[in-house]
Amino acid sequence: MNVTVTVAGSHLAKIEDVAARLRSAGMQVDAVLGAVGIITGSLPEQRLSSIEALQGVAAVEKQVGFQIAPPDAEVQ
Amino acid sequence: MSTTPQELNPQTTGRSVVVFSEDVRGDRAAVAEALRLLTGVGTVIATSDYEDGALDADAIGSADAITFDALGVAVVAREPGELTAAVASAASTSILTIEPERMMYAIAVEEEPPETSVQFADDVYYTWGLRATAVDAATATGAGIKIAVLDTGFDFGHPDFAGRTITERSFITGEESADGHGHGTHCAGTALGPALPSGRRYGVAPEAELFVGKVLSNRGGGVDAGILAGIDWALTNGCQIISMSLGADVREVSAAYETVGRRALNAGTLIVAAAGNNANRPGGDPGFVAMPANSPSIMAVAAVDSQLAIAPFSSGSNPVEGGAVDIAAPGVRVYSSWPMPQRANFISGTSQAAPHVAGIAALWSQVTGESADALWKTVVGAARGLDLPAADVGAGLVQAPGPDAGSEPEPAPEPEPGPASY
Repeated sequence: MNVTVTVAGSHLAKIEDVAARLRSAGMQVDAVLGAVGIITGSLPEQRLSSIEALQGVAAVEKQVGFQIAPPDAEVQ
Repeated sequence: MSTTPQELNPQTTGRSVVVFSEDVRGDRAAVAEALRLLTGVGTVIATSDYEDGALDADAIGSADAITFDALGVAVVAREPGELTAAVASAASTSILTIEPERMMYAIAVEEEPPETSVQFADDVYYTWGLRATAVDAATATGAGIKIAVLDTGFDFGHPDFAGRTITERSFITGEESADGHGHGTHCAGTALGPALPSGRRYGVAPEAELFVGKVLSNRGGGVDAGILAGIDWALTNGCQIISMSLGADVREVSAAYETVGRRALNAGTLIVAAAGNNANRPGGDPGFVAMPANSPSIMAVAAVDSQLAIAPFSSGSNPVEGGAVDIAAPGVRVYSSWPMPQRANFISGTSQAAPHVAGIAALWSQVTGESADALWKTVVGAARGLDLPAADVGAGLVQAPGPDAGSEPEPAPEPEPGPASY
C-alpha cells in the first residue's frame, strides 16, 4: 500500500531520522521531501498502525490517485 | 408568422457532395480517376494526405475536390447540375449520388441576455478571460516571480515560448516532462503566456519565470507521491506561486496537503488549486471542493463563464473546514497554448480557472512585494464581487492590479504659500 507520512513540525530538522525509523518499522521509503516535511513510500496494510505511533510522525495517509480528462474532452 | 425562404430552401455552397459506390470506396486511385473523367477537376486532396485524417480549413477552401477516403465521399467545387450531366454521359457506375453541399450551422439556443448582464468575448487582442480579469489594462508582467505549474508537462518547442527560461522536472516514472496530453501546456499558457503570441493574448504573466513539474502522466494520471514531490521541488527552487489544476474527488481534507500548504506559506509560497469539476449544476448538484483545494492552506478556485455565471461543472463549497471556494476565475471556453502543431485550443474546467489566479497572483506579488499569506489576502481582497453565492465563487472574480498599482501615491500638492485671498 502506498502511503504519505506527514512529519511533525518538531521533527522537520531530523526528517532523515524519522525516515530511518520508518524503514526499521518495515516501510519502503521512496522519497524524503525535506522542504515540505513529507515522506512517501509503501508498506503492508497491517503495518499501518505501527508507523502511526512512531516519534516524529504526525499523520499517515493512503495515497490517492488523480486523473484528469482526456485531451479531447470539453471539460478538463 | 411567415416562413422565411431560407427555411424552405436551405443555403447551398455551390459545391456538390458526391457519394461513391462500395466498389471504389477506399481506392484512392479509382476515386481520383472517376473525378478526373467526370469533371476534369485539377487539385484533388484526400484526407489521408493529412495526419490523423484531419485536413485544414485553408486546404478545403482552395482545392477543386476533397475526397474523404474512409467515407467514400468527395466534395467537388462544381454545381450538381454540371456533374449529373457528366455522370450520365460517362455511364459511370462508381458514383451513387450527387447532392448540393448545404450550409450547416451550430445548433445554438439564442437567448436575449438580460440588459444588466456583463458580457465578455474573445477579440483579436485578448481572450475574454484577460478582459474580464482586467489583465488587458495591467502594466505588471510578473517579472521576478517564479510560477511552478504542476501538471502534464509542457511543449518546450512551442513557438509562443521561444527564448523563455524554463526549468523542468518530471515526477512521472518513464516519462520526460514534454507534454503528451495538452492540459499542462494549456494551463502554463494561461498563467505565463507571452505578451505578443501568434494570435490573441491569453497569458496573464508574460515575464514570470516558468517551472514545469510533470506530476500527471501523458494519460492524465498522477498520485500523491509525485504531486507532493513536485511541490517540494517548487519550494526548493524558490517559486512564489504553485498552480495545480488537479484534484481527486475526496471530501476529507488530507493532513499531508494541509500541512504542506501551511509549510509552503511559511516558506513564502502560495499554492493555488482548481476547486474541481464534480458539480452538475443543471442537475441540481453543486458538487464539493476536491482534494487538495479543500485544504484551508490552499487557495480553491471556481470557474465562471464569459457571462460571469458559475460554470455548470464548477464545484461548490464543501462543509469541511477549508472546503470553501476562495475565489473564481475564467474557466469556460478558455483559449490558450496547446502542443504543436495545433498551437492553441479552447478547453473548459476549473483547471483553466486556477492558472488565471496563479498568474494574477504573480502580478500582485511583483507590484506589492508580497508573498504567501499577505499575497493571499491581497488577491482575495481585490476580487470583484459577483452576484452569485459565496459558496460558489468565494470572494468573486479575480482581478489584476490596475495600471497604477504599486506606484508610490503622489503626495497631495501643498497649497502655494502666498497672500491669502479675501
